[in-house]
Amino acid sequence: MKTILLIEDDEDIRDNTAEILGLAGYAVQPAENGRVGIALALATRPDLVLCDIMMPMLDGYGVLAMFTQNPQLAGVPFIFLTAKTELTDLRRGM
Amino acid sequence: MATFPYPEALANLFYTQGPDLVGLYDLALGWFTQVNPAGVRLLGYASEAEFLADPDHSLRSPPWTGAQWQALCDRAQHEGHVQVQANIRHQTGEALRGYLELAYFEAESRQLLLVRLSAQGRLQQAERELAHSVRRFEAVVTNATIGIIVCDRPGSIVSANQLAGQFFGYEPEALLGQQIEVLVPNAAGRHHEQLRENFNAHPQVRSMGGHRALLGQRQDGTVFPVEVSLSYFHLDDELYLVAYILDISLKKAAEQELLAQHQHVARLNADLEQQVADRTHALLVTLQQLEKRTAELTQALAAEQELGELKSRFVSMASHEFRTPLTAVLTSADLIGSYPSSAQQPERLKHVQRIRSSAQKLNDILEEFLSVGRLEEGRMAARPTRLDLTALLPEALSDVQSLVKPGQTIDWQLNCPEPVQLDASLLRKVVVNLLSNALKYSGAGTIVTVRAACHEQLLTLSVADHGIGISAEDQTHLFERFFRARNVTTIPGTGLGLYIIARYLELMGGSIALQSALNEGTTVTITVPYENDITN
Repeated sequence: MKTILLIEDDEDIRDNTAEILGLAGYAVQPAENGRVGIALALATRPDLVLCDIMMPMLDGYGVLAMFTQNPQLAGVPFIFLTAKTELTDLRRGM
Repeated sequence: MATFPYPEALANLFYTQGPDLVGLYDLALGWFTQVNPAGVRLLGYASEAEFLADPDHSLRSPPWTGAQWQALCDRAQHEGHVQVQANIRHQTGEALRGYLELAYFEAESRQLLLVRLSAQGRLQQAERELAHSVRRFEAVVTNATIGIIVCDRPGSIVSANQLAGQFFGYEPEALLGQQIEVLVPNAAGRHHEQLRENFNAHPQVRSMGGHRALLGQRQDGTVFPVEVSLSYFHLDDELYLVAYILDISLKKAAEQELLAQHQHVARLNADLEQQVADRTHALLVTLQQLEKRTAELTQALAAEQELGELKSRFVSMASHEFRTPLTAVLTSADLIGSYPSSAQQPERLKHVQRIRSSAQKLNDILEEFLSVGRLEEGRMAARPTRLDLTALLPEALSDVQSLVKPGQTIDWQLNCPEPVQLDASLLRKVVVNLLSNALKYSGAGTIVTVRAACHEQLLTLSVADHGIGISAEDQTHLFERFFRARNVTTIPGTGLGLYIIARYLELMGGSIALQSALNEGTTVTITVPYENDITN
């Protein structure tokens, strides 16, 4: 079973997304912020990361930076889930 | 006395002709052989013998050379008689104007000249000099370039030169015997006679009209400006006054012209200065308008920039604040569809509840927008009613219960036992906003302290947290629409809360103050004046 790390601070969105992915047959590890997400990822290397950008403590860009810098986590597919729609935000996430 | 070998008549001639030199000149000898005593005296010799013995054989007339004298003698010999006017020099060197007559005759085979030298008399000389002097004087007076009038003590004109007549329009002779007053306009009115008497009493040389315009009157009654100087002289105990007169018409005209020119120049200068002042003024006005326009433009630009900033803040806020609950609604709706069996009713209800709360969040945001709209249109007003704060505060606390983080506590004290007159709805929104901010921006396990007191018709309420705080720079923008402090951009919020409650407090006549330091916490204090409730 593929494991998906879901990092999202809004409880409703996190629950619903986890629920949808669970129904689709994935093992979902929900995290309410970037720091928790990194800890979970280091404990169990996920097959995919779904990450919000606007979060307290550590935002999505910070989480991505940690993933690319950490050799243990480098190469994990990473998808931003965000309400940010501006071009500069898109560019920053690449 | 020597005997005379010549005719008696000649001898008589010698001695009877008074002051003239008479002598016999021997052409062969080249000198006199005889001279009368008058001649000796005339030429300044001591005696006839000395004269005859003078070795110079000269009449001491420097212009005459020996040759000239010889020529004169030759002429006398040929023509028999010569008369010349001559300058003879006295033996002492004194010049002598004389009249020389030479008459040639022969006697006893000698060629002789009878020489007669008559010195011109002093009186004769004085008369001639006087005549010259008078002529010179007359010429000076007559042709003077100044009018000259002489009158006697009673003021009768005794003399006037041509120019004086010309000035006053008279033939010079016609002036003689006239009273001087005929030349002075309004002489009677100006006491001219009296003035003349004064002058006669104390005559002095002076100029008149130096400081004021004097006028002369012509024969035809017209007047003209004059400058007059006065002097006087005595002749045979008679006092005569002399007036020297200048017609200064031209000078006056020139002065007038000059004055007119000066005035013209002054007027031109004044015009020029006025023009310069006008132009300067116009320039200043233009400059002021320009500055005003620049200020307006700057203001417009600032407003435009503010609006642009407002727009981008709104878009940034809206995209997140709307999208999150909308996403929750959409995903919950999808999930409801994924639970078709009746056994899955609890799942469905959870999502229905989620949809409801998300819709409520969207409604709250919309409500905030509408509040801003109403505030800005001025459609809101405070409506004080009877208000029991001991009831209002617990209600507000219960409103924010959902925001309390694990371990977070609210420590509150209220000292408002009496009901007051205040707008309950506005005050509740203010208190809820302050409490939710304090809870939202401080961490789990912290204490939020609330103190409220009513004293002398003034409600003071403070909410203090130990949260993330607000930087000094962000504090200055805190009450602007859609503004979010930079350290809360990852925390949901519209950026309208403080703006709205500050306006609500304004409506209630109250105020808001804020103290904050980054990572230490924030204390917000509001003060609201109220009327005591007297309805009970």
